[in-house]
Amino acid sequence: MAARLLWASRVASHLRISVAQRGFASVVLKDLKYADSHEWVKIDGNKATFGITDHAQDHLGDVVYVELPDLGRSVSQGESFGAVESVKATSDINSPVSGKVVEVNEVLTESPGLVNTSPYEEGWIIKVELSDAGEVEKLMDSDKYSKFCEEEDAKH
Amino acid sequence: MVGFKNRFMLMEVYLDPEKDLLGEGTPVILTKLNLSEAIKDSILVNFGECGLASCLGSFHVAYVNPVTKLCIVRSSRDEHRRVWSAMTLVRSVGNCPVVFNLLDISGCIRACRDAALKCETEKFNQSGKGLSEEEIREMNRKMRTPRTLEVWKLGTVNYLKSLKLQDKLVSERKANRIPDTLLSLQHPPTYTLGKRRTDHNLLIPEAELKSIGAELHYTQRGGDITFHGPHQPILYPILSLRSIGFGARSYVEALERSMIEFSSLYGVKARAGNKCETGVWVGDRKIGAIGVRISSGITCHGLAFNIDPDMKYFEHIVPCGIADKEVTSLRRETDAQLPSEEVIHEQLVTCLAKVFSYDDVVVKEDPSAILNTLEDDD
Repeated sequence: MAARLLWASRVASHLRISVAQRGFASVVLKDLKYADSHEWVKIDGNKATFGITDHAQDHLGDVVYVELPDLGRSVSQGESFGAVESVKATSDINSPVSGKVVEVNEVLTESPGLVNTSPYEEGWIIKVELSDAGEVEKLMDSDKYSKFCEEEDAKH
Repeated sequence: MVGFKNRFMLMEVYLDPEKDLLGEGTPVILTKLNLSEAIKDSILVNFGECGLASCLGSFHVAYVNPVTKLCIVRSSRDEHRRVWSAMTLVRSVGNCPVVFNLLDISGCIRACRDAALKCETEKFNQSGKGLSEEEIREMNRKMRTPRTLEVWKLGTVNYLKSLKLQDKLVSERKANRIPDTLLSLQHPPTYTLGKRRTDHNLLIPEAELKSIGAELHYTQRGGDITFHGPHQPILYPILSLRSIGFGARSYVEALERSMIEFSSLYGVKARAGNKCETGVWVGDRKIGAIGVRISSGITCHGLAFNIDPDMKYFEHIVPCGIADKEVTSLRRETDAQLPSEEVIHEQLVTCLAKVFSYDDVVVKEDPSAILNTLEDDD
């Protein structure tokens, strides 16, 4: 369902039809939390999955390479843990929460494009074991994140 | 007490709505940069290079208000009549026919500012209904601090040193201790690889590099293998993408546009690359390369444009990993007389500043001093 929504809004923005009142046409899912460096987090007990948002992948362009961290490595909120390369630009990905890396999406090594086509589902990047559940409070919910993206886009 | 005297001229710029635009696009919005370019061009045309050189020292567009169309221009007292007449002779700014009218002239900025304030208040009172949405947005944009680009002209710099300098500047920019900065330099013969470490695209063994006088470096930037060397100007913009409102893709596209704009100065029709072929091409030949790193929204590395590098060095690599396409240079693409390297670097910088809509470009005094301190930090 999310995939179809994503596809629809992508087509809409390509054809320049407004999806809603706002000019902002990327997808923001309601049950996720967001960091201001455009990563999303899905909390599942004390495990968290994250990746980059639709807004981020749209601004990056076609991803050709994803640098994944090693398993067992610890990450801290706001610190970089990997990178994506697109259009000759490597962009750091920052961790929205702190924890220990328990799983990485190896599929991205072969198909980095999944980050573009399915940023919230198949394009997930890593899963961590949370070290501090309280940190999630510092993240934005979907409404706040939509507003944040709107403000950023308006600056241009 | 005051040894050096200036004159501040308050000018009103009339944009004639009846007249047709001279070119494509919407009417130009007045900025310090496009006004100063138009005035400098007029001085050059009417007073020659000598006239321009003598005016440039103190010439500065101090204030521009695109809504009321007022601007304050500073000039030295000795040259102000020249600048004034050149301004009167300006026919267009960008694609818009304009006429300049002098409203006030004074020896200090304060008096000029007071006159400007008075004039603008009159205009707002006259306009009655108040400002349109568009104009209010413009005013708010003016109220914000003007965007300045600080340019460091560094000459030829060893690659590792430039990496260290960039690291330092990126953290300074992140902490907001410096404005958007642009490094303008060249490297001694150097091959560099990107994050993907595609060293299979280096066609000679690493051991042989020394014999051809080149170094090899692995970097964190995007992109494949490339060569840097003399007669290839390089620009490393250290910018905060968030304050410009760009993402990675739009940033890289703007870098491409800067190089395309620069090529057009010499009549060379360059174009942006197709998908997966980022860079600037003339036909099927690559003339400009891009490789960028973005961390926490601050950019480093940047672009390289071939003016007249030793093309033999490119034979030892598969440039940018694209096997069946040639590499070319400005020298090869045009018969035009090329000016000195310093002028070329300046033109490239100006094109970038224009594409990124900077209000002001400031050249840093003696940047090489910083380079020397980097050695000690090791």
